[in-house]
Amino acid sequence: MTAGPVRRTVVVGGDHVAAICALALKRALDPIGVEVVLVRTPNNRMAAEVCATLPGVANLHRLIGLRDKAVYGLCQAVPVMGREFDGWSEKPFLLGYDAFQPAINDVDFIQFWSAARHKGLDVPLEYFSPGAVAARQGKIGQGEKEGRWRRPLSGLHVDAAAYASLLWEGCRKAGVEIIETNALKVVQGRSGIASLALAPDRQVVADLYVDATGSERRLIGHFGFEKWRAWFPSDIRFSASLSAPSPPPAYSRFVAVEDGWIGLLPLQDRLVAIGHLRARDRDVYALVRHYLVQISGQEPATLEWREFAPGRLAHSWRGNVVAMGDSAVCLEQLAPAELQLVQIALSTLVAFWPVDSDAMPEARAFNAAFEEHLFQVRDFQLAHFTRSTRAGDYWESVRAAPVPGSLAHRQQLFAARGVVPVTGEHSFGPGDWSAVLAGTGIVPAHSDPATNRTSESEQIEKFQHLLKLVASEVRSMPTMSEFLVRTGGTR
Amino acid sequence: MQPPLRVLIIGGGTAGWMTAAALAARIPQTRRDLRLVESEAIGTVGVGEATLPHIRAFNEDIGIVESEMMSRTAATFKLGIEFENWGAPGKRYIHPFGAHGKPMGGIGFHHFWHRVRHRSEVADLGEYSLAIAACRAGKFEFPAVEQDTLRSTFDYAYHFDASLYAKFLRSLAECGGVARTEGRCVEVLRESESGDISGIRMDNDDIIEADLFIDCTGFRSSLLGDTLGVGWEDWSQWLPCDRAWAVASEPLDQPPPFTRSIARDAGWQWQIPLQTRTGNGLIYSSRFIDDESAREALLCNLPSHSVGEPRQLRFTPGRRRDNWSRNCIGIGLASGFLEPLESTSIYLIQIAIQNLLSLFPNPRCDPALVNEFNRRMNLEYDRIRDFLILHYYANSRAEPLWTHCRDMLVPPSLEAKIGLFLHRGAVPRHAEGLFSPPSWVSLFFGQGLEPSAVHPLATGMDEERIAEVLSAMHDEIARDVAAMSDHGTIVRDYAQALS
Repeated sequence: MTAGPVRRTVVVGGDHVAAICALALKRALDPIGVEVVLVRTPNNRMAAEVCATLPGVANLHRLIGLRDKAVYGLCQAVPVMGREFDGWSEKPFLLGYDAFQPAINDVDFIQFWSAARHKGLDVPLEYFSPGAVAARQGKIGQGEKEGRWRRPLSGLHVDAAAYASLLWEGCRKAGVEIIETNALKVVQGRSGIASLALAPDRQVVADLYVDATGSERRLIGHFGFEKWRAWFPSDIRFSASLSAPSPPPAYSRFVAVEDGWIGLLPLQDRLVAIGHLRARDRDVYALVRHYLVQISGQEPATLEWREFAPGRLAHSWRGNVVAMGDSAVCLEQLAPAELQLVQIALSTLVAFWPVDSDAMPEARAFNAAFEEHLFQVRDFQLAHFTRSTRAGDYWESVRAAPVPGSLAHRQQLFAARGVVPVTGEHSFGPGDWSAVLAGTGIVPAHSDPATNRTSESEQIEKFQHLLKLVASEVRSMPTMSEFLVRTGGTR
Repeated sequence: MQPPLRVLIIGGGTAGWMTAAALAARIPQTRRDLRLVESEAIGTVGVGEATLPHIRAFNEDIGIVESEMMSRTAATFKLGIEFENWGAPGKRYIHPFGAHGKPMGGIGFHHFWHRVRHRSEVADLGEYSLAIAACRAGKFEFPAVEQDTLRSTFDYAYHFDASLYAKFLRSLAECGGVARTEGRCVEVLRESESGDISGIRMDNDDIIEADLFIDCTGFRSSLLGDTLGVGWEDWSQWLPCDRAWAVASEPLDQPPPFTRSIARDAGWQWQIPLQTRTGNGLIYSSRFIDDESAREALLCNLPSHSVGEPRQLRFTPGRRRDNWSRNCIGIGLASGFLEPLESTSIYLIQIAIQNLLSLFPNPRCDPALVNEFNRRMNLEYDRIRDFLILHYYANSRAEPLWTHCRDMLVPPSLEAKIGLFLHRGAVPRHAEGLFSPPSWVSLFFGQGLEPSAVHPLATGMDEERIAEVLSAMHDEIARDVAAMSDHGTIVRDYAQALS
């Protein structure tokens, strides 16, 4: 006996994440007549905030019908080819958004690279990454496929507030009912939320509720929230505006400092400084200003901060509520994976869209699938911290925390033999992992003996060929300015 | 350069020679020193005459020419496995190496089929699989390379003589520099400090030392089990069969392009068609039938005259807790045993070899490599275990073995899979391990499980339209099958067995 299909879903939240959820669900579920309502609460994001994404956002935009022209024209969008990490380990390194090198005679490139490192090669892995090289040279790749060579794609930075406006507009056009309110009371029922009471006498009833209210978790609550403070000791996150370099750099930069880290993310009209710091009882403004001046030589034009509590809900789908974005998992913004996780959660939700509004055993499968992704994203970020050689209280406390078994295994396996386990679902492929682990200073102790099937002279020739290929690939890419003109950027 | 790693393979059955041939082909001579010891006095089990499509990549990797391999091993093609009387007496289904239909809008085909299955013009699910249709018609053709046609929606494997396959691989391995020593290992020697294995003593008192030991000693597991004491995870609570009779019979005039698996009162019977003979066996539970009756049941149900006397095998289903311990790796039956219901024995050997190659130690067995190897292998075993258990669990037969199976508690991992299928027709999708969604689809429906609902997105298309799509697909399959060759003919033309 079933109570019938899910006919109505309500998304609650005030930022771009809420709007993406509403729009994506509307587009995916419209063919089966599911009504999508967006209860739009005030946007609690910081004014200057930037939304940074991995290249996969292009797929999301296709799914929700967002056109590049609008994103570049209205959201100060800047494409980026990678992220530079400075001050974390011994040497800075740039993680390109491709991290893919062709195999040599069926053996992974990383095996040849680590063998060559032991023979004295002093060329960092990033030199073989078209994404990283393009990033350094201010060039933008657009991801066309050409033979065995997959060209790099760009990630994206957008002004979060403008992005949210654009998405709301998309919701309206797509037929999402939008209710604006801040007065919101959850009415609990027998096995989940029965309705939302909106002031003064309005009620919204749905079969399934999506909590996209960020770390407030206004629908799902904080029950079962696992704190990750031992791994990520920052207690505040901030966002500040600095003046824009022209043209904007084609990568973001993450600088480790004594109390945490600062990221510099270009938009068309400004450079946004974000960061996570352990401020404790200190004057946050003075602390942030101190680091910004130190790193950029600039006084911030605007500066806002929020308290930060990293962690995740043990079950992001409970009863008839699904948490999305920061409601489900609160991570530092070191890897721009927030939207990636939202995208994964949405596609998993659609894949497990409940068949019965009264009983949703799909939650278990959803939670298991989502957990695999979010642990991997957490580990990917944490890899930077656990390998840092910096001195100071903050860094010592990070290193004192026991590394999660999943990450320790990855690091040890890579250190032993340059192998990255492909476990379950993943947001970061073996190439990304190799790049980040090598970037944090791990050189595999041994390489695949199959590398010896390729003679040393052929190996050298292949390396030189690859470097040339990367160079010519990058030469053919447009510059940042050319790219922005072509895509309708405002600068 | 690193000194070559001394690898000693103990045991020369299918597992031993597959390992030897693959290591010889993939690891350059300068980096390895390969030796295999075997005794002609010790018989091999010769597991798995039926294979899975993965074997093709393995063969290709070590430079095997398909037609040559097939004629040397008396092989036929295989497009799937037919299960008869499994879910219920009189029912039959084929687990094909391929999909049923095509997904629509990202939603699995079976959801759409399930919605319209009550309509008179809609056929059984199996009728929408090209591989199954080819099996039923006794036809075979190589799959198309172009991805957009139905003719690319299936894959194939082989039935072959495993002992001839091992012999063929031996010739390749020896050409590739593998040294073979005839004789029996009578003692395994260990380093006093580390406890690692240092060498083995042969029956002529020779001592053979090595850095890495591959235990291919079959059920005995002389190194991994006996010497290192790695425990056995016993799965007989879920897989009740513990014995088998095996016998060859005359070849069939028309060898079908599929393996047959027929459920019997207290077990099940296999039929594997080779060019030169038919492999037969009855797997049974000694709790529910005595040996002599089982032997009788096999001999009374052969598809052709028997050749020779039946041989008995005894086993405990399960796996070693670890397949790699210290400097010793178990491959084949030394690492675990799962009955050949889904032809997974050779697959498990192949996967162990692939994992060994990608984690080849150098020279120390770093714990990270060992842990990763064990993680991968345990996952493979556990996934296959669940898949096999479902064959036993989901049945409506009346005999004591089957009622026992129907009442057993299945592992929680399987229980969750069954629950989600019954609730909404969802099938497991894993990034690692054997059995993709199409396999689960054939198993769930084949064993008679029925979901109470389908994916909500499959309700967006109206029934008329679905029925039209299905009808067109059915016609296309019929046309494709009609254009295929007769299986027996194509085998003879392509790779006639060496006499």
